[in-house]
Amino acid sequence: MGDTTFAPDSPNTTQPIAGRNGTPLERRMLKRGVPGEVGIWAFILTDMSVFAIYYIVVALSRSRQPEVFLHGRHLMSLPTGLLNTFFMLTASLFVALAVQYIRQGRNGTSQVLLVGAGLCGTGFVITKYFEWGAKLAAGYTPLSDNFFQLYFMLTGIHLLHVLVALVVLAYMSRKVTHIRQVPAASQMRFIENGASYWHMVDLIWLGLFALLYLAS
Amino acid sequence: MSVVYIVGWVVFARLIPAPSPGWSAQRLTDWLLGHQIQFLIGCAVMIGAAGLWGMWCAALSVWTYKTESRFPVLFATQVISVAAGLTFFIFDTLFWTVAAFRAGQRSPEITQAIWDVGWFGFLFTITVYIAWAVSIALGILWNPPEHQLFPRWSAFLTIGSALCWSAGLLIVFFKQGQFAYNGGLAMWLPLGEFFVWLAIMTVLGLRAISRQEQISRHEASQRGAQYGVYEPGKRDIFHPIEDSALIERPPESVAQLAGQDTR
Repeated sequence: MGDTTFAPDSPNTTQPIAGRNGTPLERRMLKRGVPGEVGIWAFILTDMSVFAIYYIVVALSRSRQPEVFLHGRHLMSLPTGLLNTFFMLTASLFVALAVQYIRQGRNGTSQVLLVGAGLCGTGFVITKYFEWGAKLAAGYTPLSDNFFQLYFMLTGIHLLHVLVALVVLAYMSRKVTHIRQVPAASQMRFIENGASYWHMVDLIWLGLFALLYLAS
Repeated sequence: MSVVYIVGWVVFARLIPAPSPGWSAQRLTDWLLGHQIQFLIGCAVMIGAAGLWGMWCAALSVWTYKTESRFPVLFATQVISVAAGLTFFIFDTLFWTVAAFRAGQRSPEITQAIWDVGWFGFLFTITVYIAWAVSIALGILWNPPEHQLFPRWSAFLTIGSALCWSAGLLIVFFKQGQFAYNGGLAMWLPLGEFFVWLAIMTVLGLRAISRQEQISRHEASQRGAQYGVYEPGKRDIFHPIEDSALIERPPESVAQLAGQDTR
């Protein structure tokens, strides 16, 4: 019978009803090869728009209080920021490679890569813990000034995204154990959704790193 | 509802820019007294708009109900969350109104305390909205594909929006800056995002309604008129029902009542 359960040959239905592969738009986009599904890109677009506004606000706040932001930037530890960036980029690389290997049917290697990505993510969280600890011990809290409010809050929101990404990674790993050699379409969709989310988290960190650690 | 609410907020209450929690109590009182009647009109308009909101939420929740009719957990979650959310939505305007009602006649500290309660009711109670959004999203994602009346991407959009709104929880720590209750990132961004999401879901909801009407007409032609959509006018007092097939039949057996007879 195909994907649509309601027979679209009735003259009363003017457009096909969403079937197993989604609406007509989603099917067209799938043919063009959207990684994961259309929905995860709607999520990424929403979250990236929110973070774009966060970035704009940081830039505007800097232009209003340049001395506060300059003072704050000098207190940022660039090596720690670089270490965090390294963790994020490496994890992204591992996730991207893992997705490739899953497509090729190399599930064992992809599991190792996913674990590696998880370790990098955990490394990021631990580094963040020490970084924040050092700031707080030095007496700089989110209530100190506008720079530190934005720094702690935005890196905190990003940290929450990373924690969710680690959970997603665990689910992806579990999904891979269910794959028998070649993944089914729905399994691949889930894995690509998770990978896309991870790349988004990485991209958000790059923006925060540039704005809070590098921009003067 | 959105238009009425925004008119109340912007034109009458003049809550752009919103007073900061960092203001002194006296400054807040002076600001309220500066346009007191206008502000109270704005609050009345906003509360009127809030009363319309429940209907919109109900229209959204029936799509989840449609595919979960035996144990409608997600539907119940939505209804409960919306009931709580609507209460808080009205409650915050209520407290702003009370703060403005006797501004100047009572101590400024009391005015500011009541005013603060209103803002916390507006932003800090976001968790019920998040529960509502998540149950809508799950209801869409877990739909069997043949009942997919909302596109799957709208579920992801809803989850992303819920993440944006959750920044409202951070207002508890700050009296100035972007994450204070008048701040750009904790208030304006989630509020703006909420209205954008609302507009998108309204468009999708209207499409779902028209598609459901198509499905109902299709079912009526296939399985009988009693499964179809009721045409306007057939059931009102000016047009008594002539077609007996449109009258709902009482259940013929206990099995049918329990939903096991899916004829």
